[in-house]
Amino acid sequence: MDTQPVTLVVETIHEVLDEQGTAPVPLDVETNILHDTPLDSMGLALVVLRLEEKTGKDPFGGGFINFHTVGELAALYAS
Amino acid sequence: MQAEYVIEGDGPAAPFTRDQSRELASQLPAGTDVAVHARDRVAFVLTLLAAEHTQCRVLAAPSYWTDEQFSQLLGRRAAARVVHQDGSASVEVEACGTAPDGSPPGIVIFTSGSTGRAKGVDHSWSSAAASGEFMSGRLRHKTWYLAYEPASYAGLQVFFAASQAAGRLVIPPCGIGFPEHARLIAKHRIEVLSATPSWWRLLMAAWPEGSAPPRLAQATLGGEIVDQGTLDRVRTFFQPQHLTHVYATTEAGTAIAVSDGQAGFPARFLDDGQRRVGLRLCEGVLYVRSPFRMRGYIQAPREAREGEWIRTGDLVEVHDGRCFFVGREDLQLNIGGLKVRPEEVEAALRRVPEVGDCLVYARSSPIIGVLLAADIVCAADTHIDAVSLQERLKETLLPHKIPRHFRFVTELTVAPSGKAQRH
Repeated sequence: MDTQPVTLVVETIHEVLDEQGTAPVPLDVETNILHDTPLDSMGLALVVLRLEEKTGKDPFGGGFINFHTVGELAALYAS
Repeated sequence: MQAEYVIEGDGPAAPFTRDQSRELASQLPAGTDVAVHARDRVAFVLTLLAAEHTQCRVLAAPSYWTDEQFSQLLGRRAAARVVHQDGSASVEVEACGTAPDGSPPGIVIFTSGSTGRAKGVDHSWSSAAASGEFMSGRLRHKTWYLAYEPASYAGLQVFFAASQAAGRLVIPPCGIGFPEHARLIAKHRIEVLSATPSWWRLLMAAWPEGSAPPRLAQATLGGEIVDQGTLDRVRTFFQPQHLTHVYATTEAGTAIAVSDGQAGFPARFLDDGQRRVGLRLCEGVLYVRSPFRMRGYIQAPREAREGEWIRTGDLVEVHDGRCFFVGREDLQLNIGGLKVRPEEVEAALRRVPEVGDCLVYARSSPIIGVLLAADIVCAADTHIDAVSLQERLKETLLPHKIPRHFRFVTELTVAPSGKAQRH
C-alpha cells in the first residue's frame, strides 16, 4: 500500500489531538481510530475536513463510506 | 454645470453628460419595458439618464448576469434593449419582441435574495432616486466613485446622488481587483465613496504602501452590518470630513443614516411617528414603513398599500438606548440543533486584534453533519493560530458558537453585491 496517505492521516490525527490538548498516541495502519485513540467524533470530523483540504479529494462527496482503521481512511485518499 | 460620468476602461475617454442621452430618450418606447445590461456601462448610464424623463420602465440587468440570463429577460419581458457598440459615442435601441404593455415608468432592480432565484423589484423613479433627496449641498461638484454593482439599489443611490450633486461619477470596469480600485480612486482623487464594510476592508488591505489615501469629503458604509472596528479604521485611514453608515434594503429603500461615528443607531428612531421612514421592532425583527419602498415584485405585481410595514428579516438588539444589527433571520445556522448567527461570531472574531477580516459559515461533515467553520485573514504583520483564536473566543461566546475549523486565507472574496461571499 502507498504509505504517503497513511503518513498524512497519522500527521493529521496528531495535529488535531495536539490542538485538543490530548497526549499523542502511537498510530499505525491497523489502529482503530475511534476505539484506540482519544479522538472524539468532532475530532474525527476535523481530521476528515483537513484531509480534504490537504489532498483536494472529497471521498465522502457521494455519501458516507464506512472505515475503522487508519489504513482504511488512508485508502480513501490514495490516488 | 451638469453631472459627468467617467466610464473607466474600455469606454470613450471623454465623460458622458445628460446631453448625450437626449436622442436616446426620444427612441425609448413609452409604457413598456426596456432592458439594459449593466455590464454595458455606456448603455446603462445613458439609459438611466434618458429614461428618467420618459414613460418607459427600465429592466436593469446586473453586470454579473450572463448573456444567457439577459436573453431570458429580453425574451420574457422586454420590448426593446439598449446596446452600445464599442468605440461608438452613442447607443442603439433594438426591438426585442412583445412585452406586456402598461408598465409604469420606473426601474426594476434584480436581487438574488437568499433563495438564489432572481426577484425583480419594481421602483418608481422617485423611490429609486431617493438618495438625491438626502444629498447634502456640501457634496456638490465633488468626484464620486461607483463601488457598488451599478444595477443594484445601492449603486443607483450613488448614481442619482452624484447626478443630483452635479458631480463627476467615476464608474470602474466590472470585475477588477482591489489594487486596481485603489489605483483609480487615487488617480481620480475621489472625494465621495460609498461601499460595503467588506469592500472598505479589502480596499484598505490592497492600498499600496507609501501611497497616501485621498482625504475624503464623505465616506459611507452600508449593505452589511457596520461594526465599530471598520468604522474606526475607515476614519483613521481616509480621515473623511463626514463618516456615515446607512441601512437600506432593495424592497424598503433607504431607511436609516447615522453620522455620529458610532455603530448601530439611536433607539429613539424606533416608533417615532415624526420620522418620514417608520421603524419598528417586532420579536427582534426590524420592520420599515417608507415612502421610498418598492411598488412590488414584477413576478407578483400588486398595488403598494399606503403605510404598509415591510418585514426586513434583519435582526436588531437594543442595548443602552442604541440599536445594533446582529444578523439576518435567513442566515441563522443550525449547529448540532443549536442556532448560531454567523454575524455574531464574526463580530467577536473582529474584536481580536490579529484578525483583519473573517467569514463564518457552516461546513458539512460526513462524520457529524455540520460544523462551524471560519475563514480568517490575519491583520497586516500579525499571526495567530486556531487554538489561540478559540481560546480568545471562549471569553465572549458560548461553546457551540466557537468555530471548530479554521482556514487562514490571504483575502476573502466579495460577491458582486460587494458583500462578503457566503458559502
